Amino acid sequence: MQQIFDFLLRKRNPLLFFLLLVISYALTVQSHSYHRSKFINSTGNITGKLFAYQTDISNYFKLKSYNERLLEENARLKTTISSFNLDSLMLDIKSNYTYYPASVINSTYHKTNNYLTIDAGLNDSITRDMGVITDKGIVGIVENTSSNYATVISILNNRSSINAQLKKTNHFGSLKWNGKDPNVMQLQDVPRFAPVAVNDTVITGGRSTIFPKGLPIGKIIGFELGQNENFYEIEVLLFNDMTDVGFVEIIKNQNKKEVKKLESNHSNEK
Amino acid sequence: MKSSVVTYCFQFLFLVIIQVLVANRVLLWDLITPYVALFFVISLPIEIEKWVQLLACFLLGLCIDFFENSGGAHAAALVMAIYLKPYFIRLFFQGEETLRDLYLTRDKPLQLFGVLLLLILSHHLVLFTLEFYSLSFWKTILKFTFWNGIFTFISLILGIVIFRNKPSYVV
Repeated sequence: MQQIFDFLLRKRNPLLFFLLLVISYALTVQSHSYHRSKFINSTGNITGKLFAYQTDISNYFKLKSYNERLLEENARLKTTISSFNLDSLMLDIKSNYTYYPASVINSTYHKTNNYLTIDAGLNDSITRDMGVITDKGIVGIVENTSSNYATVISILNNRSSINAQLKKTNHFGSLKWNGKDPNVMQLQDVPRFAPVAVNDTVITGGRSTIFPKGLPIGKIIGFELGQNENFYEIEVLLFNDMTDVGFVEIIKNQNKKEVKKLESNHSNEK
Repeated sequence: MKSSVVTYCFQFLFLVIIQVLVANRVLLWDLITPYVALFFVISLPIEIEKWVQLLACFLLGLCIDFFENSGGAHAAALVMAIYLKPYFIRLFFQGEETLRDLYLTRDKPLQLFGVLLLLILSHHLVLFTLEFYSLSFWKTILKFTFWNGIFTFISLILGIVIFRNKPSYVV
């Protein structure tokens, strides 16, 4: 027994070294498994506040371009409303989706697994698995939330896979990122019968409960048949500049629970 | 002794803030970030108990990981660097028993550069391997290690030049 203690005492530094390495490795592994990165994330009060202060300052330098984008979006929305030709008071349509505004206080785009931190959390009724978009396209999906902040898995992340389709037809596939160019993503599993052409628009598919159908994503800049010649590999240039995401909207699907419940009933029957 | 502990605590906080608010935002050509937190590894005197050094660097890395959502990548990289530091020093300063604070070896710049480069190499390789989380990205990992390494090296040299008068660091 004494010898074991002696050994441990003598080798305490290498042992501590390996212990710490194992802990860090375990934390890394955990952060890469979906829905598990609970411990190490930037939704904490200190990290959130620090990023928020910094964003307060840096946003002043971008106000002009943000204002222009807001004006553009306003104009577009007004055009849409006027095309309905309705009195705005009559617009009492019950929408399935609610939008919450938030600003991005931290984001990366140069890693293979990118995240954003936004300044809205549980107090703003933001919860896990809500979609995050800008006026130009999609940004990611909410992962962890604290009371005032939330982290978002960027679409530029190995773990991200978004249901997307061609605007012209209903052929759909999954949008992934190969980790190279932050402006170009890959649309996979589109069947070879689909009429794919360069410059076609890609939109969200609406086959998940996260994003509504028809949100713009990007345009096709190139495509080829995959290895088994049954599916296309399509390169999509994003409309959204993922290197400069300032303000976002978070989408809440009001019917999500209902849909999920129906789907789980179905899987129980099997 | 007490005052130097306080100094190190301040340095710890300072490096976390500089790393997450300044260095990580530099991002030259969408690629390059100087990893200034490595400065902590250089400035910790070798006389301090090894397990204290290991724990301090682990905590520093963990703090940065919290901001970066990177799991434990920075923690692992810094622990690796601090653990290997004495071996690197022994490699370049053999026979001279100068296993001391790297500050005190500024009169031998070439050897110092050698130690710095090996430290940066070990740190960056561990960091990017864990960050990319797949060895199939080994080309990218090497590319990142090379380019980021150059800038980390420059920032560390700058740090050593700027903070050259630190008599209180002698424990």
